[in-house]
Amino acid sequence: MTEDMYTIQIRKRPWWMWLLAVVWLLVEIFFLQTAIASLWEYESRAATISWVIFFILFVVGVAIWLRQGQPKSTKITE
Amino acid sequence: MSIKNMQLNRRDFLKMTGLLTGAGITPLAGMALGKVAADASSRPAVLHKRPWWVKEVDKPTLAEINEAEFKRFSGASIFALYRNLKDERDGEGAFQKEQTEKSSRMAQWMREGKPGFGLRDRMVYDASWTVMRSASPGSGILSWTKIRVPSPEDLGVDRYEDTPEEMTKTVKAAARLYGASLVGIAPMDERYINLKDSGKDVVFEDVDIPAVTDEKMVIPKKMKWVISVAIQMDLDLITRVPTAVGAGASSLGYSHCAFVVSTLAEFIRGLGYQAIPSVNDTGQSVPFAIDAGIGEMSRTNRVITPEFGPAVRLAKVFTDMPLVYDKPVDFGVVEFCKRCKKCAEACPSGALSMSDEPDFEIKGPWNNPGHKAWFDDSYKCYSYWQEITTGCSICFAVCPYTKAAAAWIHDVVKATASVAPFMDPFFRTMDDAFGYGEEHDPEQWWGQDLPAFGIYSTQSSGR
Repeated sequence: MTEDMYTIQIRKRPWWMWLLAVVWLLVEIFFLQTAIASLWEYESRAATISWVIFFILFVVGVAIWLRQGQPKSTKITE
Repeated sequence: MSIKNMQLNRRDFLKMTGLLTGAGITPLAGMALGKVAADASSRPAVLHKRPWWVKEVDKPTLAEINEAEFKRFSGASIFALYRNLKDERDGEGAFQKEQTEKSSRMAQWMREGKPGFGLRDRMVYDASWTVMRSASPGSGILSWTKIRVPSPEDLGVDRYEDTPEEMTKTVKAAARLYGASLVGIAPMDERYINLKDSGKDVVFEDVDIPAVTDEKMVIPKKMKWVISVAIQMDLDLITRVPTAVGAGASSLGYSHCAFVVSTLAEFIRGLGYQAIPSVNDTGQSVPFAIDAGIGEMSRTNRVITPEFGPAVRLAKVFTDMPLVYDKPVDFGVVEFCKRCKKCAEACPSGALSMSDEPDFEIKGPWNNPGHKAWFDDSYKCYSYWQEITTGCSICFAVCPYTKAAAAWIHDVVKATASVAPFMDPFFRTMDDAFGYGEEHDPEQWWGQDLPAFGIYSTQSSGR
């Protein structure tokens, strides 16, 4: 009987990832504010574009964040 | 109140968004959006504080003057010149024919209910003139002498005396109270005063009190200070030009001007000084506004302000009350105008200059020669007004500086343009891409949640 063994590598995010995350958050807030405020200004195209940018950045940002932080497991076969 | 019956206006919506976001999504986003909500409903009453990217300068950015040629202007506006010019260019009777056609077109559009040109739209424009048209230079509320306010002598007190700094603060606070969106102080420059107004000579004399007689209008030489005011135009209207309802932004702006300068003049007289209120009459509002730091000269041959873009109406009060002069400002408008040209491209009559650089070449007798500018062809502009039966203002509406105050992106763009002119073409492209300057549905205007006077209160400065 073969027993599978794994090593799980916990990745510590480098400092620059945290810096990028803060920048990303600020940019997200900026476009969220623009999107909502543009509705208030009755500028529908500006609002739409801002929402699109916000959601694209959101999806990309979250995806990169999750992917970078995912534990990496390596199968060790004896 | 039940949810079903609850109606949210724009400000409430924004407040709620800020609160919800603050409570639920992230504290940071909540703070950010909460600030917008606060901006929209109860903006801080910061008097005269300009954004950091507005720099004071010693000389206006577009101030090249040919001293030999720059003199007092005849005062001949296109409104006075147009009739003769039209007949000269298109033959005798052309003006009358055009007016007849205009009247019939106007009536037809009203009967048809053409969007933005119906009877109620027309009345927004016409009724908004009421205050302005109740007065004429030197009479009515635009009287050059005291109307009703008691003088210090009447009240048994000395006239108001303080340091020029304190008196400037007093006058600016009063101007804001009466509705001035922006206020600045410029020195009197006789070259900006028309030679004639309302068929009378405008003269400077060594007298104590201004006078208007059958022959002349007398400005005392001791009036060395000019209080320049800018009145924010209604953005919800101006985004609907060229229509009758949209043109209400101009007529309402003029009526606001008449109200502000007449009450401010009475306030100054009540303090024991002389004051002459003036809207478009008597002298040129634009150079005074530039010298007073209200804004910069632009491709439209009009002022662009940091806060409201070109969407302001200008007026002024001449006074002998000692005040402190403001300085002209620079926030990158002249450089931006060189590259942008959005107003000139959008102008249906081709009245605005497309040249890269401003020059000394005037386009007609409506321009005052001797200074560098992007001179406008007022004849073409006014001809288009006849065609659409009302004022136009498309150049104001499409200007990238004409923006509402809610989105932070506008301040970011203006601030960047002031320090990095190489970004100007990009901003112009983005302005188009984001759909700014496109005409809004004029019919929608009637169903909106509108702030008083169509602006976000005098306290807000639109910020």
